[in-house]
Formats: sequence, structure tokens, C-alpha cells
Amino acid sequence: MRRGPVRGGSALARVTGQAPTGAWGRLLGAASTIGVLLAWETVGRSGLVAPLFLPSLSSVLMEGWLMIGSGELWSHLGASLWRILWGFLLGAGLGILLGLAMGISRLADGLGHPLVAASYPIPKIALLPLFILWLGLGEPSKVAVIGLGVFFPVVVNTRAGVRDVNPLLIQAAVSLGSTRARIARKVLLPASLPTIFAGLKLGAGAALLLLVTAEMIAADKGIGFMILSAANLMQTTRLLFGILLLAALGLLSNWMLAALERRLLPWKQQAH
Amino acid sequence: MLTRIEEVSKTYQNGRTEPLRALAGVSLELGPHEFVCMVGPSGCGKSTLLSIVAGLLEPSSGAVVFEGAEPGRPPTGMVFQDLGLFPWRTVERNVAYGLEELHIGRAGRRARVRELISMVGLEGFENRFPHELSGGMRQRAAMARALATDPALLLMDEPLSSLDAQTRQEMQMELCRLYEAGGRSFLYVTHDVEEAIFLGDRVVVLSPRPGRVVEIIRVGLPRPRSHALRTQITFNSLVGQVGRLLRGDGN
Repeated sequence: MRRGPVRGGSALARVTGQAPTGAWGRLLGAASTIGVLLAWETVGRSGLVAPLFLPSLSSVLMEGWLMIGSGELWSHLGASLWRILWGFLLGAGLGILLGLAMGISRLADGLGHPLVAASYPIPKIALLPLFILWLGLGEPSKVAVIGLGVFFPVVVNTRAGVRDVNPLLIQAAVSLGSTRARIARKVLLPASLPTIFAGLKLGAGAALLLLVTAEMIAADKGIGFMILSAANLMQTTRLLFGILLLAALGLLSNWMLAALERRLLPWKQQAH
Repeated sequence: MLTRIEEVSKTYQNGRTEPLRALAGVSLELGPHEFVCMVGPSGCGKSTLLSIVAGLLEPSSGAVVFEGAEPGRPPTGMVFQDLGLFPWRTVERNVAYGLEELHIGRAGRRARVRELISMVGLEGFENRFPHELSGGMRQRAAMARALATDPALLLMDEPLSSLDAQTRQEMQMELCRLYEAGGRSFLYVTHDVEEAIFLGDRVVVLSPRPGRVVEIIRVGLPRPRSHALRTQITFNSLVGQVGRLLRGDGN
């Protein structure tokens, strides 16, 4: 019995459920996004749902436009960006440094790993009240809680990345005359960079989550504060604009990390 | 440089299992220009011996002595079975690695890298990453990297075992050419008897674990070597002789 021609690539994609790539994939993605936005706009305008519960997309965007005009947007967005940027940089920097130390030195690992393992499961937002007690209501307590949320996935991934480095690469470096310190910089760091990036991406997600929560708990500015106060005043258009803003912020941070990754890891491009 | 491997033994101990005796008193001397191949059943400690000579592993007893080694430079270079090319470095920068560790300036590195790349025939691929190369090309890159610091002894651990038959013969010729150009000795581990005879001046036959030297065969075939050798009677009788030694029937 003869069967029809088997198209290798597409057959594999059907079996493994791989997402379509290339122009077709982009078209599909755009279609579903535009579809949802259109449905939103239609329902909002139809009068089926009261604007208090679901204002139309266009009125939400209009609200945003007005906030840009009044300068209100910048004060919220600026405050949030400042917090998340510092929190991310501090958490990521410390996480990479300590992760490398723990990956390289048994002493550092013996001291640090039990601590990290024990404190990783603590929901970081629970520490915000403590940080407020220690650091006050101002920016440092929010930056600290964001930093902590970034620190953990980064330190854990960095440590794992260093420990997973193929021993053959270390042997090769030794046979080529490398000392311990130079192996750390020239082999362990670049070899664990892909895993470090995975940690940075997790950290970026945690940072956004903690930013919004912290701003809802204790802030007088910022996107989280803006969303919560809009909800209290039943300003649903403003609330939804805040959520759109967060979506944009999330996409932006993903995109920036992806761009940095492409730049720092050109050798990984064709591997996946 | 003269290399003396003196009564080297190695026993692996990890506390959980029985100690594993990998090598039991191996002695061998390599002159300044000599191609020595090591053959032996798998697990006989060939790779262990190479690692010890390369300074990657401490022997349990015995020593490796390099007489007349140039100071300030690693006496050996190593080509690993799985190569161990740095995947984040291009061919050019892989080759330059050892030179960086010798603190050779940028200009000096560049000149030396160019020379090596043309020596192994990788011109035009300088800026490729290892995963963008074929198996044979990766092999050449690993060889160039090990040769960069101009080691007096090149250690090779079954470097051609993952290549297809045709590429392997091609690379064997390249190795002969490299050796016959002079300047260094080779200590070459393989499980392919024909390859050992084709490449080597001497072939060291090791016993099953714990590895010890069973016999050293002098090959004595003319150099430069060529593929025509493979059909000659002397070549094939040497292959037969080493094969019998490996199987353990002495005559």
C-alpha cells in the first residue's frame, strides 16, 4: 500500500506541536492579537457591557493620550522604570557575582548555598513590610524587594551554569596553560552565560511582578499605584491603560534581554 | 626535548568502590623527533597515561620528566578525543587561546594564528564558530589550537575516531605531513592498529587493565608515508603482528 508523500518538517511539527516560524508565524501572531483587540473594541462599543466594566479599546487609548498630555503618565512611568531598573541591576549584578563564586569555590558554595536554598522559597513580597521598617517608605525598600526577586533566579542559574560547564573545556584550558583565575574568566563565565541569561529572563518576570505589587502596597507614584487608585475611583479606562502599559513594559524587557543575548551569544544563534 | 615516562602507575580511588588500577608501571622514552603510537584494549589506561603526561592528572607513583624543555612554555599540547573546542570562540580565537595565555601581543598572535590556519588548511573559516564546521574541519581547528604554542610534544587521544573513513585517511596524511615537517614528537593513542602502523615510528602495545607495556614494535616504514603503503606486505604483516599482540597470542 502506498501512502502520500510525507513532508518531513511539517510532519515533525505536527507531532511535536512546534509553533510555526517565519513569516507565517508572525502573520498568525498578528492575526490573533488584532482579533482580540478588535473583539474588545466591538464589545466595548456595542453597549452589551457597561463601560464601567469594559470600556472600549479606543477610549482606553484616549485616556492614555490625555495622561501623556497632562504629564501624569511620565511621573508614574518614570517612577516605575527607575525602581525596576535599579532593582534589576542590583539583583542581577549581585546574583551573577555570588553565583560565579559559589560555582567556582567550594568554600563559597558551602557557606552560601544552604542560605540561598532556604530563603529562595520565601515569597519576596512578604519581606516588603520588613524592608519598609528598615529602609523607610521611600524608594530603597521597593528597589530592595525587586532586587531580591531578581537575585534568586540569577544566583541559582549562574551557580548551576558554572557547575555544568563541560570539564573537557576546563582541561583544554589547563593544557593550553591557563591558571585558575583565568579559567574562571575565560572559560567558566562564557560557558555559563546561556544559563545566566535564562536566570535573567526569570528575574525580569519577577521584577515586574514585584514592582506592581510593591507599588500597590506602599507608593504614591508608579504604574501599580496608578492601577490601584484608578480601581478605587472606578476609573476603568485608566485601570486598563495601566495594564496595557505593563504589557508593553514586559514585552520591552523581553525584547531588550533578547537583543543583549543575541549580541553576547552569537555562537548560540543556530543552536536553537 | 626528551620525554621520559618513568614507572608511571595510576590507581583511581573514590572510597565507594574497589580501587581501580588503571596503569601499572609504564615506562617509555620519546626522542625529540619521534612518532609513537599507543594501542591497547579499551579501558587499558591509554587516555589516563596521556592525561598524566599532559599534566592534567597526578600519577599515583612514578614520574614524567621533560629533559631540555624550553622554559616559560608548556612542553606538551593536547588534542582531546572530543576536541573540547571553545564553542563561544571562533576558529581564529580558539587557535589564539594558548597564545593569549603566553601573553603574546595582538600583532604576534595574529601572525601566528594566520600561519597555523593555513598550515591546517582552514583559510576562509577563521570567523566560523565550531558548530558551523564539519567534523574534519573541527579536527583541524583543534590541532591548530594545540600547535599554537609550539609544544615539543603533541599528545593526541584518538583524535580521528569520530570521522568517516575517507576523512580519517585524509587527516592521517595531514598528520604525517605535520610530523615529517619536523620540530616535535607525537604521542598518539588509537585503537585502530592500521592507523598506528601508518602513522608511527614505534607502536607501543599495552595490556588490558591495569595497563603495562607488552611490547614496543619498531615500524621502520619509509617516510614520507603515503597511502600506497597500505597495500604493501610489510605494512600488513606489521598490522597482523600488532593485532596478535593485542589479542594476546604471542606468535
